[in-house]
Amino acid sequence: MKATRGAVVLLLGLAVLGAYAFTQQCIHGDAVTDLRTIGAGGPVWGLYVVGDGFFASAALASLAVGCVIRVLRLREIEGVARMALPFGIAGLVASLGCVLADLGRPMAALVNLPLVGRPASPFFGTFTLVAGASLVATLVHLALTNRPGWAQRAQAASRWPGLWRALACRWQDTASARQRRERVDFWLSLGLLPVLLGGLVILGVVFGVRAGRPAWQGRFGVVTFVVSGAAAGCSLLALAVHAHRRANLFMARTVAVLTALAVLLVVSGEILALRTPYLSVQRYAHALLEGPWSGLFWAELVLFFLAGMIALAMSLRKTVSLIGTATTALLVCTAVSLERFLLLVAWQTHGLGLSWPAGVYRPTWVEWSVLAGVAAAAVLAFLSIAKVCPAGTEAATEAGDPAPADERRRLLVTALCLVGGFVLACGGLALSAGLASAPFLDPILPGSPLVFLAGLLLMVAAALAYELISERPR
Amino acid sequence: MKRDDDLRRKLLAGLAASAAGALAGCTRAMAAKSAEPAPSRRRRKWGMVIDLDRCARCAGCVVACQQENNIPPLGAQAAARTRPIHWMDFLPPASGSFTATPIPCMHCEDPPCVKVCPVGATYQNPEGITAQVWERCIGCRYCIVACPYSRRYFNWSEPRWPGDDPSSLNPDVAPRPRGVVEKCTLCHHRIHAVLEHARLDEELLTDEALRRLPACAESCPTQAITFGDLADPDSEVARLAASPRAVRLLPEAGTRPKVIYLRETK
Repeated sequence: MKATRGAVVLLLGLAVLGAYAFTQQCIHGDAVTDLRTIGAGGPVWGLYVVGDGFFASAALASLAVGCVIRVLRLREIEGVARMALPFGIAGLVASLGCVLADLGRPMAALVNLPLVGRPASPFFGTFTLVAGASLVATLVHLALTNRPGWAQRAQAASRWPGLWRALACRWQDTASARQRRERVDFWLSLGLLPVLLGGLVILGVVFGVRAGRPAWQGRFGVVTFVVSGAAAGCSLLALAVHAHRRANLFMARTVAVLTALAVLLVVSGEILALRTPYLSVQRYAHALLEGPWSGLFWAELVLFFLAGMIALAMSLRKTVSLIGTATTALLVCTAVSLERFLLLVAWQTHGLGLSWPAGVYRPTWVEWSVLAGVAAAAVLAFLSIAKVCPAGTEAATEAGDPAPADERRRLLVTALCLVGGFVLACGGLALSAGLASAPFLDPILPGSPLVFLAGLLLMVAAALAYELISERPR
Repeated sequence: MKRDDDLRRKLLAGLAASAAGALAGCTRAMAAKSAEPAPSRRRRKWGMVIDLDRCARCAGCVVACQQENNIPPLGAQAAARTRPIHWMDFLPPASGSFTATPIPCMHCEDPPCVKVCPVGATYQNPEGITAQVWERCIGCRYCIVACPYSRRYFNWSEPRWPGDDPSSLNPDVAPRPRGVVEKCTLCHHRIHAVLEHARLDEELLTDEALRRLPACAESCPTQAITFGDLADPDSEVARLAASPRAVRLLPEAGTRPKVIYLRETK
């Protein structure tokens, strides 16, 4: 992945504009946005939360696709799994940026969430599983996956050999090291998969489930959120791996299936909403079909349909062009953003249970600038990581004499990390939830959410221990 | 490597089977849990009855609430952007049976706002009041989105009072800073004061002392708002709540509000 100097300057400019807009919001408060009080004219969640939903779901879905490829060892499309890592990291960082921009008191959040976070709230899952465990585990995965390439770069590159050597962490291309690499790849992917899917579902719950709406609709919203997030993630991944023909074909087929499913879910959700006895749900459905949000709703459907048709045509012809892939990605991402917007904003303006007047929402320049800045920073982060991470796979570096490994020490430390992490995670979760105590909102021990997160991270550290503990003679 | 591959296949098959089993188990457990009645642990259950036949729609309750709870008056800019804060407000008339309805926080028995708060900034106290710890709130506004009655407010900018004079504020209620969510507390500072006086004077707390306790109820010229202990069957509020005219807003939301309306008969 290479970007021209002009593109980098443009991205940097957007990031600076976003930072300036955010300082304006910090100085004057959220009054500089067009967010308003629900029931008195508008939504309280707008563009920032839509951005969070888009970036996080695309990142989690692409990481999950990468994990599935690694677990099933689909060698032909391994490039997708490799590219999913920097893509996922950039997406998760962007989603964090959106969340911080949305919070009324971001600094209080950074203190209070680890201190007194409550597992009953879906946000607990988003900050522990999505922002914490997924991000760190993906960074670890990325570092371990790229060790062989960095070792090769340390030998070949004329610039910064010390940096590449440090990143390679004494990688030796021996049979046992490769075997460990494979095992860690498999187990880390397998362990990460439920965390990623859990994070995706929790985000779907934040977007789709509300009191006062029928339960089926909440579940429908979650499924639509997950499927459309997967479509966005796969379409962007397809763009990132367009050089690999086999991978590209696989991604085009996946995107075609996912967009078809998304259209089906959106249309059937709308039909069911029109026929439900709930007045608020009917109002929302009519606002989408023929009300103020109808333009966006029909645009969403058309974009999904067009993207699906292009992806289908490419997969039937078995020729995947860069223009076709880029167009598909653009259409799918726009459609998914619209779907998130309608799921979130239209509900707040037209789906209220009581007879409050309908609201409006026209994001201000501050909101657009912050979102553009976050997106630009994410693209820059992706390009930087892709530049640092070598494109090639494990190349022989020091095929020297393999030293006999002290397997017992390695296994002992790995097992300790796993068991210790599991115990810490379970304990932290139980203490946060206030289990075995009177029902009270505070955790039994302040900082229990941090203990839970530390447990998850210690389990991730087991992968580091297993792979990095150096070989030494017995 | 072959051993690894065999192990991997067996593991994946085992995981798929156990995931299916766990999913089925979870679904059953969730279904069983949702069927269970909520446990009742509280001594008192504060609630309110609003008689719509008596209500003159004078908005005296709205003004009294603003004054009592240090809610800053709406400035011109905020008014233009429709960002008002009214703990007590009037719901516009719908096509149904209600005309304009005074509407405070419903203080639900099963409040969705409490469930979603990520830091426990909103909680239900042992007497059933859904309260808010301003200092702990991180301003995520999830509680506002979750409330089916839209009875929560976010402070979009720094609160300002006319002349920037804080001496006119009620010293019993802390003003809220920018970036936090606020809501009706059923004037729990007043409840606390009455309970404390009764304890110190070793007097029995009577229903009469409670009926007009919150600022909205006290200021109502037609005595349309009655406050009291819903768990006490002899209280006026419990008697009114048992009336055939009694209705709750959005019963389908399953939140079981403790603010009850007496339907209009005229």
